[in-house]
Amino acid sequence: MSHSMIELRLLLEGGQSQSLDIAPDSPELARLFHVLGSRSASGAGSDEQFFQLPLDGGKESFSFSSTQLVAISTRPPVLIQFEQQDSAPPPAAQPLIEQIERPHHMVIDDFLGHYEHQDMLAYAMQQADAFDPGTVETGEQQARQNLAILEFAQAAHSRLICNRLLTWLPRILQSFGMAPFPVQQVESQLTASNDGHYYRAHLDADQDRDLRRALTCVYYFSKQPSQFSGGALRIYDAINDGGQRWQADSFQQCESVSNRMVIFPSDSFHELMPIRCPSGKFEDSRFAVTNWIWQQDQPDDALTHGWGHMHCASEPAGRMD
Amino acid sequence: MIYTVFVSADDVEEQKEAELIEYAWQRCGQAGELIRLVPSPPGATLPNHSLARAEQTLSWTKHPYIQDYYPGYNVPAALLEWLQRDAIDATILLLESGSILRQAIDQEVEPGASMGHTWNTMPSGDGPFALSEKYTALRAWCVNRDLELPRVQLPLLIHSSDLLKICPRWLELIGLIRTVPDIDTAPPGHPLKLALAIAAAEYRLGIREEDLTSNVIEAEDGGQNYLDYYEAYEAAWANGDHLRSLLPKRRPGVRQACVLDQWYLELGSDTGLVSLNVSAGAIWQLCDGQRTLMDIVETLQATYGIPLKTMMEDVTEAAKILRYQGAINLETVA
Repeated sequence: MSHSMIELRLLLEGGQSQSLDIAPDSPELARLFHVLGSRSASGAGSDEQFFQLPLDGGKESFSFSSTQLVAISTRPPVLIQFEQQDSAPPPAAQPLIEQIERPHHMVIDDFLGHYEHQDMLAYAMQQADAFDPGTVETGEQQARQNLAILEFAQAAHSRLICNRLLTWLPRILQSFGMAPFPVQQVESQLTASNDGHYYRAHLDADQDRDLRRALTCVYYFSKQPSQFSGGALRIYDAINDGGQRWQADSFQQCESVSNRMVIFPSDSFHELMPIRCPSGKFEDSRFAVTNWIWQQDQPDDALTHGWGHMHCASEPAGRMD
Repeated sequence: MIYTVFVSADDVEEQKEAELIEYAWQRCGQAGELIRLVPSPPGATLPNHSLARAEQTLSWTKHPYIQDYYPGYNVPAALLEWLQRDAIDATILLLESGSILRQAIDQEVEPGASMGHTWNTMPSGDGPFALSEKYTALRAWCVNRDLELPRVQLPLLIHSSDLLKICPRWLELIGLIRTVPDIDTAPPGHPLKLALAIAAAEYRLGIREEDLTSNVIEAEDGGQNYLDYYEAYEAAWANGDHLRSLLPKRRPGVRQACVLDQWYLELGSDTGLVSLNVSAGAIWQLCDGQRTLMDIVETLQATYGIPLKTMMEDVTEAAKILRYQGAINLETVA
């Protein structure tokens, strides 16, 4: 995941403040926290340091002394851990700067037309016998429990969703700040979640990007009024420390509203919260079509998607005129 | 709030059509804001307008995944991008580029209460949606092919939430209809119109058919009415009538300085300091909130003795740039 700039607000003595954007890996950012952290840890002022920070892309600069610094406010939050030896406060604490990454996500309501949505439901009911238990074992515990049709991608209903999704894709990529890319495939799976079903926090793409899933797009549908509760999708923030990412405790939550598509980067930690469906009836399940948009480096005009008209993007929208 | 919206590319011909829409929009006293969505490459310079706000959108003139050239893709694609990006929550009066709004439509609509101009010549037959059999291929891509289509076309008066719902399907259907055999023998606007009607039916929008010929003249079928209006528009441009109803007002917070006869404006932190050329500086000094653009033209003409036509063009262009930079607002006066 690419790093975005951090919005920094420096509060200085006398009520002065200054806002600026700074790169997360900027040494100046580390120095600022170091100064503040050292003072906090020692309870006294540390050696005075001089700061000069660029403003407005380097057209201006803002200079101040470390002794003037009172507090630092950042967006997104920047977590600091100070390495400590025993319980004695270190003479100069070393900050480990970890940036919380909040994945962008997009919610599209009324994704399908009324009749298409109804047809999806009818299809799911007809296929009741084709659902198999979808389980993932992770050694210590069962990570997932629901029913799935893994070969759903061959169905016309999968192509219907895929075609609509690809129509949205240029706008989705724009919203995510992603450069247009050739689509290798749109993998798709239909699941039914009923009472007690869940899917613990996981990633859909590995961090080494061997699995070229770029975006996960989950389409929810269910009988109305819905006969279940829970089942929300949690998209967790990630803590990035020198390229290593792990799941944070904070998250954004999307309710699985019928006829809603939720899109997020496949390398985001996400979790399906447990569902409660008192009737336990299959038709009262919360259904979801999970689509993974795979990215490839070079366009391949032989590949078609959706109804068969869509090819890999060889030229991104807006750049071909 | 009503946004009057049209989609048009940034070329000479469409610029003229856009200025005509702007003139008509002002003349009929349409309430709200005029938006021109301009499909263009990212970072392209947007055209300046006296009243309209230009918004850049991705170009879909060539469909990115079908590789089909059809400018009609730009209409739902630009709307989708703008509505979603700016989270618009308002009534949209959607005009076809090149049309003329000659009577204001000031009725705001709620979700589910859209209306569109009647499309009397919608093709009919024994095919899906009671269209001609040419469109048989649609059976493969539409779940319910027996829906009764609303016989509507642009202009459309619709709530933004309804428009946002149908835009992706509208866009998708154009691409599907464009694959229909012999589609090139149909009028060029048909894929756009048919896709709109089908998407509206599939999303159960229930667009009411209204005869809006008294409100709008379409370039396609306006005939003599269109020519008459265009003649009046050109005459207004020639004698400066349109400038008599445009009142430039300095925007609050703009600070000015004059150094060695060079005017500088400080427009806030985003834009910073801009210097004005001689013409813009002269116009800026005359923007007192009382003089119309034509008053300014006449004042400057009396001072410098420049031909009226040249002066009108200079003042109009400078006013557009000052507006674009955020130095002035242009208000309409009766």
